[in-house]
Amino acid sequence: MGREIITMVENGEVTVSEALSLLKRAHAGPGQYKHELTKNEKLAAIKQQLDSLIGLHTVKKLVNEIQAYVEIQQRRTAFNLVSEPVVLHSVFIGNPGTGKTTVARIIGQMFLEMGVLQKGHLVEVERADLVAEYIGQTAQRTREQLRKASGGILFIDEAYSLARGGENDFGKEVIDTIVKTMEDQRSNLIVILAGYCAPMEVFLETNPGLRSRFPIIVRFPDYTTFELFRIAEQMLQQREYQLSKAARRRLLSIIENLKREEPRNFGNARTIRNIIEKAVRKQAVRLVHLKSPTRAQLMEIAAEDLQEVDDD
Amino acid sequence: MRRIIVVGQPNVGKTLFSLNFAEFLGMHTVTINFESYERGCSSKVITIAEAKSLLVSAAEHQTLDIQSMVLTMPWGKSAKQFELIDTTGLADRIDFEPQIRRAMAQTLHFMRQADVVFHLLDCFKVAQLGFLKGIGEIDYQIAQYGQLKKGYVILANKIDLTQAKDGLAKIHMEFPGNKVIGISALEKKGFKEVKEIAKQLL
Ligand SMILES: Nc1nc2c(ncn2[C@@H]2O[C@H](COP(=O)(O)OP(=O)(O)O)[C@@H](O)[C@H]2O)c(=O)[nH]1
Ligand SMILES: [Mg+2]
Repeated sequence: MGREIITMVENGEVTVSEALSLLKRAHAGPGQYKHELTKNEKLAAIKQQLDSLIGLHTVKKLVNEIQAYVEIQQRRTAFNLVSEPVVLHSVFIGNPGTGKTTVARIIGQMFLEMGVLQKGHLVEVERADLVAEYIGQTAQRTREQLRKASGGILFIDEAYSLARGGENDFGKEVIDTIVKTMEDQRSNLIVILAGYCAPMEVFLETNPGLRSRFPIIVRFPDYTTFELFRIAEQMLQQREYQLSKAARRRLLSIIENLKREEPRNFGNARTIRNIIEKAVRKQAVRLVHLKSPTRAQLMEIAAEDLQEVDDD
Repeated sequence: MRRIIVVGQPNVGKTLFSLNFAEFLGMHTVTINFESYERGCSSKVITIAEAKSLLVSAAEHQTLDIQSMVLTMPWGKSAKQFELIDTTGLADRIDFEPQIRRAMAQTLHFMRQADVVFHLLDCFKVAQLGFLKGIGEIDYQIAQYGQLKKGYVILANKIDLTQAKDGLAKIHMEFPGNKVIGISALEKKGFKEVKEIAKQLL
């Protein structure tokens, strides 16, 4: 058991944190340690993680609602009251880099603590991981991924690409296989279909059967200029860098420009990451000639280090 | 032989602590066993000074291999040997590099086998970023896991830096009920207490 969990870390299927928590569970049943956090404390910590994400107000609100709903249904069941069936399969709509995966991962943890999922891990796949070249193999490959995700979340990125080739496309086989599994093992797996706005809306419209099976729709708005700025600051902070005053102004104007020029493609944290990474390299080049740069110099990103990055 | 494992996020000072602690116990050279996934095991005797310049770094993930060393501690009239294992920093995100993921998996593997966990935190970072960002989810999970062990001690490192006091206080608050020792791996502060605790736990 422990070995399998460690292999999951190696394969990038779970974070180290998730692995540690699984290892602990594997070692002994819950509730036997000196300082075991109660379920409520853990849930609070997970929600805290969600709250500490920059922006995403509507997403946070919706996740809270879902959590409350699930909890109340569980309590109703405990009192033998009629409880609504809880279907948690969801559609995440939003541009790349708007936090969809991060939120999915947090939700996995949340449902693990709530006892809805057994493992709470996230398996991230896209079309190529599901579709095979020959008839019959696609279902097999899809089932393989479903099995990996069992007890956790199967997160299908750019899910609309499964409807790409029309009637004869194997993408349809994927969808059918998933829907079938979802119905067989109701509570043991959550499937999330993710992708950006326009194609996802079309995808859902052309597959009306999916709507009822994926009742939760979460929309991830593009980050605002100021949110992106705060994300940049957070990334820098984590790496122990700081923006000079002039660099702050420059970064804000870069973000504003990008937003103006490419409002559609630019709503995301990924471009910000590129800008920051480039700045860190440029700062290094700027400082490398100095004999003994000070700590402050090593930490400071100057305006000249920042430039718009073409992320092609 | 009993094993102490040194874990924590990247750059909290695990390697510097391990080497300076060895020096503090009176060692001049260390036999370092590099256990690398790619290249298997190898071992090397080097002076601690060499080891420091080779292994301590401001760059993340300098320590990709597990480095274990056998240390001797005075024990009444005799001495006692134990193994001290320095590890790759554990991070919250799933790393893009398979090599780093493997190194982290290996850290977990050794953590399962260890008797005592020394969990390093960076006081300075906690003071600067606050505990929300300075202490990661990973640290809370390590703390939870540590409860299963014979010994679990939090070493709040870098107290030599200004502001770090503040961080130390925050760490105390965040991990109530756990042993927390403020140390400076750089200046070997707090090492006496670490030694005492190690003696009790081993
Ligand atoms: N000021 C100060 N710096 C430290 C201390 N411990 C480690 N460092 C520095 O932090 C950086 C990372 O140290 P290292 O031991 O490689 O960290 P590891 O990644 O946890 O093994 C290096 O630049 C060290 O010099 C300390 O107690 N005080
Ligand atoms: Mg190291």
